[in-house]
Amino acid sequence: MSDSVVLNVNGRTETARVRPYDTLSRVLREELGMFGTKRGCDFGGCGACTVSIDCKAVYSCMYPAQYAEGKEILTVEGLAKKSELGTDILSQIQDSFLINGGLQCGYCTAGIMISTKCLLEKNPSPTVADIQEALAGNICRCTGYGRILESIFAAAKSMRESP
Amino acid sequence: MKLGLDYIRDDKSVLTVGATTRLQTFLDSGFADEDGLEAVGDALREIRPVQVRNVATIGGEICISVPIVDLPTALLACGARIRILSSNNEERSLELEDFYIDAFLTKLKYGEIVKEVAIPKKMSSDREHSAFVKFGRTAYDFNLVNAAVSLAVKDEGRVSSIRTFLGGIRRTPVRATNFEEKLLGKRIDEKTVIEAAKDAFEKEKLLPSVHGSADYKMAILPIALRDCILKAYQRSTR
Repeated sequence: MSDSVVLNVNGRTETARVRPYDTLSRVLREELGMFGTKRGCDFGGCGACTVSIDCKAVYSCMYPAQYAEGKEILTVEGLAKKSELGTDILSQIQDSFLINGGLQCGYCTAGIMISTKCLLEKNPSPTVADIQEALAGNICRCTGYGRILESIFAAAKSMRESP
Repeated sequence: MKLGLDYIRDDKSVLTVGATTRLQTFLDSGFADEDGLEAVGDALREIRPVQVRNVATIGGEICISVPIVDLPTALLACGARIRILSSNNEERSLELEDFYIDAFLTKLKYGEIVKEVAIPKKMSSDREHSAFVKFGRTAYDFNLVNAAVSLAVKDEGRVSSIRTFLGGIRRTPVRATNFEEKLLGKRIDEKTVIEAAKDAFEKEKLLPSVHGSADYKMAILPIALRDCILKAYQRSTR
């Protein structure tokens, strides 16, 4: 087993030191300094660590970093685009969460937005039931989920109208 | 290293799924919703959340052998067989029904892995359909009790064959033979099922857990069976 892993994260190639059985969460955060992906429970119960691997939502706290080699990883840092000036242009999902009050402390939000991205790639017109199914693995202590649902619904509409 | 066990093969009489196939891949394929195999599709949908389905494998669900899993109950109702591969490249076949010894203990020997699961496909003329239900507290909880049934209906809606399996009530899935005997040859309605579920189980033999006492499981067993049988029966008599 090698000591380093080559990962495609948000479209960029990154090389990181890796120990045997290192999780993707630990490598992203502590080796690559990408702390957008959060640690909530570290055992697959909360969804704060959700990242997208080949457009599929995955719990990075339970995913071996080495399995991610050769796959396309998307983290919350990869949602926004860069303008010509180098500033961030937030994605429609992020805009919608800001405008619609879909976050309070924000700790679950990275994971929720990644799950949202994965859902909308597969199903651009989700019903409320579809959203609830897709977000079942992301829990939130602050919002009571109401504005999260509204934010996702509005983001989906916005993305359908202007892709 | 790739094991090469991520595949789904349909040869019209048998559906074969490799052990490292992800649950979501199997669900997306549509094969788990075909006539007769509906219990498998039902069970896959009840394994939440999507983050788990995208990574968990068929082989893992089969081999872990704990009361809280869902897929094995459905596979058992559908008469699944497994193929086991040994480290010296020998293969053997086994009915899934004969695979479980106890919690965490299967008939896998040292150096063996489960290679694939094979589910016999049903002829639509047999009017054999299946269903799976799960009782859990929250959207993505482990089960308290789950039930899977595969039944065939002939002659004016009478049950001609039935396989019923229950999970979560003992350390391994159980076939509810006492219950099945009471339903053979009968037309199914809610009353018949609840009646058949009475005295089919002994409370002393039910596995209590921190989530559900034996009393609680005893109380919801008839409901689980009713929901499951009616779901399969409706599919068979449509």
